Parts: sequence; structure tokens; C-alpha cells
Amino acid sequence: MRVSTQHVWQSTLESVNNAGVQQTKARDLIVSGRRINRASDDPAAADRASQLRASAQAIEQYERAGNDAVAFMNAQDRSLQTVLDRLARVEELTIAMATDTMTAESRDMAAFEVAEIRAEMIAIMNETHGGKSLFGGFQATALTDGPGGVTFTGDSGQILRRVADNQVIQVNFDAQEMLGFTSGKSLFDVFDDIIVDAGAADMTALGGARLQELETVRESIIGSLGLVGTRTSRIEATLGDHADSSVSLQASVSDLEDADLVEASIAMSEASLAYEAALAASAQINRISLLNYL
Amino acid sequence: MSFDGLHISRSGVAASQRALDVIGHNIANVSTPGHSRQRVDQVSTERLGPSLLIGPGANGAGVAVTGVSRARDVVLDASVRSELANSGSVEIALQTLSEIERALGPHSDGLAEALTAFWNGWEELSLDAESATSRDLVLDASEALSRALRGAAQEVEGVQAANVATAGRRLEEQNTAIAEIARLNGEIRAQDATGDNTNGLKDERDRLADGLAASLGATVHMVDGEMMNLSIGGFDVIRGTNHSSLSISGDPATLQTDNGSTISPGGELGALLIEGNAATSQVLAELDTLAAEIRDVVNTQHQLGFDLNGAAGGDIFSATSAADFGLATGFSADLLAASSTGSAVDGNHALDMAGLRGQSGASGTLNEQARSVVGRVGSAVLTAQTRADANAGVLATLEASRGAVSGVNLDEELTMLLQYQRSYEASARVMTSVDQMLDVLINRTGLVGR
Repeated sequence: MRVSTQHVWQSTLESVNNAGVQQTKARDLIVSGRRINRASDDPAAADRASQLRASAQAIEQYERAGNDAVAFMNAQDRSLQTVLDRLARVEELTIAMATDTMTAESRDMAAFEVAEIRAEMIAIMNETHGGKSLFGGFQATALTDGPGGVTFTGDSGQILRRVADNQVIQVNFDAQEMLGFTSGKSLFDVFDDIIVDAGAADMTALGGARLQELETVRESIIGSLGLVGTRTSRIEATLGDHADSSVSLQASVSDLEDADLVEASIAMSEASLAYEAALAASAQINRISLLNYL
Repeated sequence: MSFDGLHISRSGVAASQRALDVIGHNIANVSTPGHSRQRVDQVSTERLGPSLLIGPGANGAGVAVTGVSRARDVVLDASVRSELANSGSVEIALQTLSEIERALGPHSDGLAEALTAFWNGWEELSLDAESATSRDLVLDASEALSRALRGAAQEVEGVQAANVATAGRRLEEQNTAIAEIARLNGEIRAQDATGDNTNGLKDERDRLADGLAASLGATVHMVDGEMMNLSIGGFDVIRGTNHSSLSISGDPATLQTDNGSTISPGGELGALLIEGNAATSQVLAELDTLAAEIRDVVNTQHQLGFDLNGAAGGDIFSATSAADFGLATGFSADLLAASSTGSAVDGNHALDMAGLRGQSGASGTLNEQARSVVGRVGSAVLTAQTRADANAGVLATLEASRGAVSGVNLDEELTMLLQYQRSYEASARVMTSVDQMLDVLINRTGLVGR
């Protein structure tokens, strides 16, 4: 086969150029640190990475929702603990008022304290978290004190949080059932009765029915506390899962998209060597010519 | 003794001189594109009749140069040209697809990512439906999604517009080449008739034909060994010294002859006009489908909710195609329907909106559809890349084979330079010897013993 001089020069140029391109590619890989910059670099991996990144971003969002839900329920928990605390005090006062040894004056003072606790409890039940009523559904206030006693003015609006792909959890509950509004006699009706009974020195009622009624509400509140606790731990478990999968998702995306620096460095050295070899070989070959010997 | 010897050596000197000129010409053109190496065709001449002086069994009469030929293989030319057309087409197809891929946005910040940001915006809004910040976030994400879709569609349209413009510029050059080949056809015929050397003209004509093959997928038919006829997509563009001029018109742009018929070219223009149009149309159609689906799915769900003022939700997006995808006229952050009851505090409908991310239509979720548009283009780019690499290899091999036939090799030329230099010297030496013999005959005959 004949080899034309033009072909020799052209293929020299091409091989040097190719070696240069390889070197540039290897360098770009190290500099950018990314194996996939465009879908065509590896369509399957790029698609998978894109999918995993979407999951990672969704999980990040679910974590925010979960944390928000936990904060809301912690606020509920604190409020309910305070309510229980105050309720214990009312029970204590009621038991004291039911004894014969108590003077009318002391009984009046105790009744006054019950009235104060009653007002405080209304305030607690009307607390909000982040602009949302803790116990009143979508309404601003859960309880309203009027001439006919305290009425439930909240609604059954559900505050929902998506904490995982297929997990939507209700974070609030309304206080209507917990405080006995649905069973005819609410906690505040009981308070009002205690105050009336104290004025009438009706020790039988105070020590009997009233204490019984207080106990019923107390149990109901403890039940609600339990519900809040269950929900919180459920969300916290999900959040823990998220933290794990968030890490593993990011690792997978990085595996797919990022350059293996060790491998890239070796490839870079190889490419540099090939480039040098191409240059050296070209220089060597093109120095030889019949002209040198004529 | 006759003067024959002088004539014989003179023919040798002349032939060597001629050969040296041709070698010089080859060396001078070693880097000229399209130059085919040339050789002096020489034959040894026989005496026409028996010589009176020598009698029967006469010797030859020296050497004669019958012409200068160029080394060319028409079969290889045809293969190279067909491969030039292929590789021109493949290279351009790869370019077009790469540009489409670029138009669809960066790998980590494209359509699918804009959709995810949109869903996450709703998810965030569900935490606090009254928050102006969250509402602005969703509105921004909606605008970003619109921009991503619209931008992608417009840029893909731009890719094909640029292709047509490029095709126009290439065609201008090629029209000139077509006219030039027709002119060369005439000139070669005229000069061949007078016996002039037309090698240079033929080289130029072949070079132009190579260009036309790459650009337009033109095929060459040689008639009588001297006229080059050229056809593109079955249409004879050059017939002898007649040629037609081509133009691009219409939407989608097509290649037309001057008598108004449409022809489908191969090569680069084929890829620019036909394949480019097919590739961009397909991606645009996919984007349009995606746009319509996003619009319908999002708007339908959105209408089930209530906005900040308790009014039923309207449309978020309006679009007739991906290229005009945008927010509905007059849409504002307050109109985002986050509530499922009408209460401003209620963010549950925002949750339903965000839940659309997992809703699977006939061809998967919206995110999956967005990803598959990008994925398909990515795969097409990769396939085109592989094809282009393979083609480049084939073309390089073929061009090397053609170079082996037609190319100039300096070492070879230098060897022949030496050969003809020696033969020149030898012929001159013969001439001197004959001269000396004649000198003896003419000046010394009969002078013995003087």
C-alpha cells in the first residue's frame, strides 16, 4: 500500500488532536467533578439520578412538614399538661370545700380561685400555634364565654400534614368531645356548678357528683394526651426514616452523577501520557525523510 | 553510422526533462486539496520501416511521451462520496440533537426539577395557607415551571430555524460549485479535443463533487469518461454543461429546483432540513403533550379548592402549546386555592395539589413524562454520537485508500527524481559518445599516417 504524504500529515494531526481531546475530557471530569453533565452522558443513569433527586427533594419537604407537625403537637402537649395541672388544683379545692371544717369565708376564696382557673383554662384552650388554633379546628377561638356559659365555637377542621409519600397525618383535634361539650355537660358547666354549690355549701354535691364529673373530664384529657403522644412518636419514627433515606438518596445521586476522582485522576494521567506519546511519535516520524539522505 | 543515435538520446533527454517537470509539479502540489499525483506516460518507439543503412532487424528509435495521466480510481471516488454524504448527515444530526438537548435545560435543573419545585411549593403552602411568603413561593415556582417549558419549546423551535439558516448559507456555496462543475465540464471537453492537459481541471471538478456529496448527498455519473453528470435525490442537477440552481423555501423548509419541484437531498442539507425538522417536531410534540397534560391535571385539581378569599379556584395555567405555556391572565398569589373548605386557615387542598406529583396518567406521572422527554433526547444524542464515531472511522479508512491511489508521496517522488535525473545524465552521456564517434568519423577518416 502506498501512503500519501498528505495522509501522513493528516493522520499525525488527527492522532495528536484525539489525544488532546481525551486529555481535555479527563481534565474536565476532574475539574467539574461530575460524570454526568447532560442526559446523553449516560441516559439511564441521568434518568435515575433525576428521579432520586426528586425523591430527595420531596423527602426534604416531608421533613419540614413533619417537624412542623411535631412542633404543633408539642404545643398541644404543653397546653394539655397545664390543663391537667390546673384541673388537679380544682379537684383539690373541691375536696377541701366538701369538708365541714371549712369556713364559709375560705369556701368563698376557694370558689374564687376556681373561677380564676376557669378563665385561665379558657385562655389555654384558645391558644394558637403559628396562627392556628390548637383545639378549635379552622376557627380562631375554640371556646367563647358568654351569658349562657362557655360554648364551643371551634369546628372540626382537620389540619393535615403529609409526612411521607403516602402518609397524611392529622395533627390537631378539636376540644369539643374532650371537654364534654358533646355529652351535655362540659368542664366549664362543672366549674360553674362547683362555684354555685360552694355558695350554697352543698357539700354532698361537691364531694360526690362534682368530683365524679371532674374525674371523667380528667380521664378524657389524659386520653387526648395519649393520642397526641402516639401521633408524635409516629411522625418522629417517619422523620427518622427520612433522615436515613435522605442520606442514602444523596449518596446514590452522588454515585451516579459524580466522577470517581481516583479513577478520573488515573484516566487523566493516562491521557496526558498518550498525548505526550502522540506528540513525540509525530515529531520522530516527521523528522525522517529521504531528503535527509540526498 | 548515422545520426540516429543523437535522435535517440535526444528523445531520452526530453522525456526525462518532461518527467522531472511532472515530479516537480507533484511535489509543489503535495498539500493541495484534491490534487491527484500525475505520471508521464512514456513508450519506447519503434522505427517505422527498415533502415537502409542498418538493414533488417533494426533497433528502436528511443522514447516518446504520450501524455501525462493522473492516478484516480472512480470506484473509490464513488465510495468516498457516498460515505461523505453519510458522515455529513450524521454529524449534523448529532449537532442538532445536542442543541435540542441543551435547549431542554441543564441535567440537574430542567423540566422535571421545575415540576418538583412546583409540588414542593404547594407542600410548603399546606403548612401555612395564609402565609404570603409561601404563596409567593408557589407563584414563583409556577412561573419558573412556565418559563422552563416555554423556554425549552422556544429554543427547540430556534434550533430548527438556525438549521434552516445554516442550510441556506451552505446552499449558496454549493450552487456556486454546481455552476462551476458545469463550466468545467465544457472547458474539459474543449481542451480534451485539442489534446491539452486537463488533469488540473479534473482534479478541481472532483474536489467540488466531493463537497457536493458531503453537503447534498450528490451522486456522480461520468459520461464518456469526460462529462460529469450530478444528481441529487434522483434529480439531475448537472447534465453536461447545463445545470440548475437550487433554493430553499416553504415551511417546513424544503429544497427546490429552479423548475419548482421539491427534491430531498442527503448529506448535511438533508440532515439540516429533513432529519432536523423531524427531530425538533417530535420533541416539540412531546413538549406540547406534556404542557397540555400539566395544564389539565393542575387546573382540574385546582378548581376543586378555594382561594384565600374563599372563592372557588380557577385556572393556574393557560396554554395552547408548550411555546405559550404561562400563568392564566391576571393570576395572583391570593388566587392559589390552598383551602378545601373555604376557610383561609385550611391548607388541605394545597396538600391535594402537591399530591398530584404521585398521580399517574396514561404515560406515568408528570415528572416521569418530563424526564422521559429529556431521556429520549439524551439516548438519541448518544446513538448519534456512536454512529458519528463509527462513520468517521469508515470515512478515514476510505480516504486513506483513496490517498493510497491518488496522493503524492514525497519519498516516492524523490526516488523518481533521482531515477529521471540519472536517466537524463545517461542520455546526455550517450549523446556525447555518439558525438565523439561522429567526430572520429568526420574529422579523422582517411588521415591515417599523415
